[in-house]
Amino acid sequence: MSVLAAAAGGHAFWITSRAAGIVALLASSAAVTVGLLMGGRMVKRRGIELRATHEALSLAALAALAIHALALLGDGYLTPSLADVTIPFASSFKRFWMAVGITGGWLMAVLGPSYYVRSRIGVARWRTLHRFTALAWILGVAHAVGQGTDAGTAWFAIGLAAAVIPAGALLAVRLAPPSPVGT
Amino acid sequence: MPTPPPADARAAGRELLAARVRRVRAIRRRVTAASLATFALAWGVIAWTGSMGANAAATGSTQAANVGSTASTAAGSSDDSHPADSAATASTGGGLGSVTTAQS
Repeated sequence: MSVLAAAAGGHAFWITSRAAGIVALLASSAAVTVGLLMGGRMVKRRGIELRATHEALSLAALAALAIHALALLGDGYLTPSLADVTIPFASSFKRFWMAVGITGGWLMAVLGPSYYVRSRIGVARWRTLHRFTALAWILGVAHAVGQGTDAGTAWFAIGLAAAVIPAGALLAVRLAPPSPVGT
Repeated sequence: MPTPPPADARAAGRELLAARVRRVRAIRRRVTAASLATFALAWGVIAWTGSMGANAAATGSTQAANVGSTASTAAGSSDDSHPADSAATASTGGGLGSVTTAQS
């Protein structure tokens, strides 16, 4: 533990935020992948397992997202306010990419848990809304690449590619117009 | 194939449901464990390569450079570091130093 403390130096909150951001990115990418596999009927059977995996990954992503934002509040160097980490364009630190991340985070925070009130808002309406979680995920990826402190490192690039490429490919397949029957 | 008696069918149904619940719980446990492991791994890698590794070296070099008035080492890595590291390099013209000052 003393090694960890020494390694962290005065940057414990900063490192915690970055690590949580990475978990949020990986978990949300995996959740999108599983969600698209479910929605696209690409995997036969195992519906219960896929749904449970999708739900668990989404909740893990949301928890990591909350830690990612809140841990920054403890950073003694940036010293952002609650508004800086929750309101787009409030922070002057890398304003655009910060706003992209905050917008994506809020989209995910609102659209993800909407699953639990789908009977109230109507299943069809919820399905339409739920599709926009893919947009939230894209904003998150853009935020990570555009602002991420680790974006320039090889280990981050490899991890990002491994998580994002499958989800991106499935999303592209889903968004592609259906091929005409008989061709 | 003979139809099982209703009591057996109910027991089989309960067993199926219980098995499903067990599978779902196992999935949740696995995802939680994987997320925590990823967090710990990422934290360790960042602590090692970020704050303690290249950046610390760059900051240390910069601080040494402040004494010796040679600041070239910090410029290349300032974007990968904590803004605080850049703040330390502000006197040498580090890129993020002014942003950090504006932030706080």
